[in-house]
Amino acid sequence: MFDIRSPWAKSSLSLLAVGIAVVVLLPIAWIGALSLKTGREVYKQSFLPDQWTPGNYVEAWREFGLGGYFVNSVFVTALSVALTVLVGLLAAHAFTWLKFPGSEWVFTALLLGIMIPPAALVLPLLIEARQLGLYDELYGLSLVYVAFGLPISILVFRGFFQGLPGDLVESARLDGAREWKILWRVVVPMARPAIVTVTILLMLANWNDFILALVLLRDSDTYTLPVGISQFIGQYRTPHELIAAASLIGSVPVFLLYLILERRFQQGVAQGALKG
Amino acid sequence: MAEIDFRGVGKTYGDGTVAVRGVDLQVAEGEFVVLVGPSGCGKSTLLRMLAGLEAITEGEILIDGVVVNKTHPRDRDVAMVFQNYALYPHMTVFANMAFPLRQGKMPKADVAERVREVAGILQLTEHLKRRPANLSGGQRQRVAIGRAIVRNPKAFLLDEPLSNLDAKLRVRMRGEIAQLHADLGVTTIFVTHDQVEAMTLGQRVAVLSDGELRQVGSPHDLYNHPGDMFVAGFIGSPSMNLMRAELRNEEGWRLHLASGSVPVSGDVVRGVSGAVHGQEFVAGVRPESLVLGDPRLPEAEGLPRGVVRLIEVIEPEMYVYVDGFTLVDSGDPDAPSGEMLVARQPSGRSVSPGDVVAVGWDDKNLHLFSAEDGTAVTG
Amino acid sequence: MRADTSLTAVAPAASDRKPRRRDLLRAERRRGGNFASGLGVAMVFPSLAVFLGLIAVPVVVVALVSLSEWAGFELGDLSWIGLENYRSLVDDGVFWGALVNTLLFTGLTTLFLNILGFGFALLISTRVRGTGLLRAVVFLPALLPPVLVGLMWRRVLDGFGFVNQILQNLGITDEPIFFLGERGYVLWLIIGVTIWQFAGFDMILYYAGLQSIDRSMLEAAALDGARTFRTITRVVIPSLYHIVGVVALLNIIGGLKIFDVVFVMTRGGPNRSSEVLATYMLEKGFRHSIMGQASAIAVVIVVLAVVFSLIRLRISRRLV
Repeated sequence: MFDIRSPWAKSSLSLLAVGIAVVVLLPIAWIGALSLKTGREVYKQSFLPDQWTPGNYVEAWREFGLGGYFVNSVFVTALSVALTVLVGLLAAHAFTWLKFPGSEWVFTALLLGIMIPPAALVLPLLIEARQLGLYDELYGLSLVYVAFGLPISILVFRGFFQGLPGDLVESARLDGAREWKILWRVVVPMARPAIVTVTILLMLANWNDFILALVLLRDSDTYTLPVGISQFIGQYRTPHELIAAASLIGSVPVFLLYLILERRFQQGVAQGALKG
Repeated sequence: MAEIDFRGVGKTYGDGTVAVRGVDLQVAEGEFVVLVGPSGCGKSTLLRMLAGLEAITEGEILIDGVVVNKTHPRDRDVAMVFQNYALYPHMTVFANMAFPLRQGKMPKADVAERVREVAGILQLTEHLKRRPANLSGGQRQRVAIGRAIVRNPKAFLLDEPLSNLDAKLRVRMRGEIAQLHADLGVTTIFVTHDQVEAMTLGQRVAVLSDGELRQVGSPHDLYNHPGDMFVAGFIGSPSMNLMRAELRNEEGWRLHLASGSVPVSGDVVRGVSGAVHGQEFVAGVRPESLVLGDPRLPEAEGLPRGVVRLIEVIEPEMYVYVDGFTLVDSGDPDAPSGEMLVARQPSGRSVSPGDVVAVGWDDKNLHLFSAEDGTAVTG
Repeated sequence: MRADTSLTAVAPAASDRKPRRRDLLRAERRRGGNFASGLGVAMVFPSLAVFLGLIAVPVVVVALVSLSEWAGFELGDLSWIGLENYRSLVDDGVFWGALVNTLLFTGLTTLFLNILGFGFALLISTRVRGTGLLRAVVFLPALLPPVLVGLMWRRVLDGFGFVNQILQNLGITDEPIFFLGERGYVLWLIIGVTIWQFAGFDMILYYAGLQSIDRSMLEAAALDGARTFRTITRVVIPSLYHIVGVVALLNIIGGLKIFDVVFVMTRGGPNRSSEVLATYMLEKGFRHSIMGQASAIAVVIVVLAVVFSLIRLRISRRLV
């Protein structure tokens, strides 16, 4: 974008860039090193472990029961994202191509949901979850995630749909296609970029969520990773190297996804954030 | 195939805007009708109402005698070709054309056979596996037409299907569409803003303006007997010259223009009911019917005259623009107005800008329109 | 007609089809050529139901509970006390401390996130060697669960942590500093961690904004002999005004919700020096079962978030 010509400027900017990257990465690297140390080494003044102990990961996994949390997190994230995308697509389709009296009004009302911070609603949600039998249930938590994910999803989907040629939908109607078929066969294949964007946003939000899961789950059998791992900080003996290993394990899925989809991820997050 | 009947059809939007009003039009089984008019005249709205994509707010539309006002588009059994083709970008040509058939319960093998058959008619066989993005404009156009043909609908509706093509391709596709209609014989309604397209394609042409049907007739009728000033100005290129004129009876009937007068036979005057001395009319003469002459000649005496301003040579003809007249606005936004007549002459004639010419015409080529409402008063 | 037999075989038997009653009923409700508004309502219904049940109703409930005295167990124990909860919040020094901390946190993170985010975005838009690495690395923390980020930093900052190792190796201090136990440090550290985590997020947003600037404007500026610095101040920044507004408000709204990092790093301590609205709300609600006051704090959070969201909405409207 800016055409930097002078070699001196070029190399100092490069140096700056690499320097910042290193500074940002150092704490994570240090945690990574810590997670590979033995219990005795933890308090020693060295960056790298003397004795590499990858077994910490296995131990953390077993000791903290991370397997269960992991499965719970995957379940809740997958269920909530799938439901939100599905339900959001339906609504956005109607808001774009099947308008009914008052539909704009309903759309605006749904958008108000974007403004409400989930943290502020944990008390009434807890009360309601208890009444409805959603308390301490993974599907109950998923449903709450759906509620908080829908407004942004519908906004992004509708914005995208409005940019699609409406002729295609009208043509399909004339060709005799039912509305659900138009949505799945005509609209969804064209809306892939929007679906990817929304999926990324929702996965991030729901995988990383802490406060809703903390409040709405009681039994350690239902804990998601963030809640599960956070439970160890107050314990009598806190095995630092294991917490470090556990924290990294909890970050791995997002990290892997990021590696695979780096640019798309960044675009997705930017689009979602700027639109919402 | 079907007959289509518009009965007093109108469209008023929620905000009170009237897009179409009181359209009565019958389309016979197998007929090719063109709806033509300037942009915004309501022709596309009319077509979309027939397809079921817009609600009909007044009157009714019948397909084969059945009122379809409240029938879902998919149950009307009409096929439409959209201006930008509306091809599904993620599907192959085959899948695009098979789409309408797959909505029913047709066996797969029959679908494939039918698509191949239509692809053969449209010379698309070798492109069936490609996607729309990899096709030329003309090929996309054919796929869109193929998708309409494939399920053998009661009627084809074509909404400005040629306007995205370049000039040469447009002429070719025009011919192909005419040929297809001749082969298949399906009732077809074709919407365009291009009067040349309308005149070459339509068995009957319906001219619309401001949401109203102005005239329906064969291209020949519309050209030679325009029902009003709008149709007269809209049909034909260059447009008919429409001049303000006064009918006077001074030693025989003459039409007086700004700079002279042209004799009118008593037959013509008698044909105009209630014509009186001093009555104002709009006189219309097509460019090819204007006679330009040397003003010094004796037979040119008294004739209106003007100065040649501009000559456009389009071999083997030329358009001569003559200044010094008061033209009347026909109501067509694209028609010329101002003070210059257009005459269409063989290109060899020796006229040059700056020449003064006398202007006249043969009585039989004169169209007279009422100065009040623009309707034709002569045949 | 060509291919007559197959055409008739294929044609749907539609000619004798009558408009069905269902279609008629649907059409009665249509608008603008829409023949299936009933279906439209059905498609919106799941979204609306979830929204009403799990966002709208809780908002109403939290507002109502904030007007009551209630321990949160039996509905029968609830008694209406009007604005009493809000009045006690006004007299509550801890609440004011939490509010000030929240606003301080929000303001400072927003300020620094924007400065750093914009700076990093400019840096990566030069595309010199190393910026690819920067782009990938700086964005990474923004993806991590804030709770785990808090946990990691808690370790990095503790007495035997990385920061103390550096300070001791550099000879700046002999004795380890227990950062998270120092009243004067904690809020700033939480702010720092948040900036560390989300600077890459703002960078990506600004980078997207930079990409949308018309190249020819920059080229024109270069042809006019403008130096890079002048190009940035005179051309780039003015064309990003709206983006700045959107990003800043996004940071503000995010900042008001601050909870996860505080909860795992300090639990609001020591001695409430890092207390924020959300942690205080949970303490009131869950540890002390004072649902009314907790809900009043929740209402404060909602009101703040809605106010800033509305401002943001105005700005993004102009953005389009």
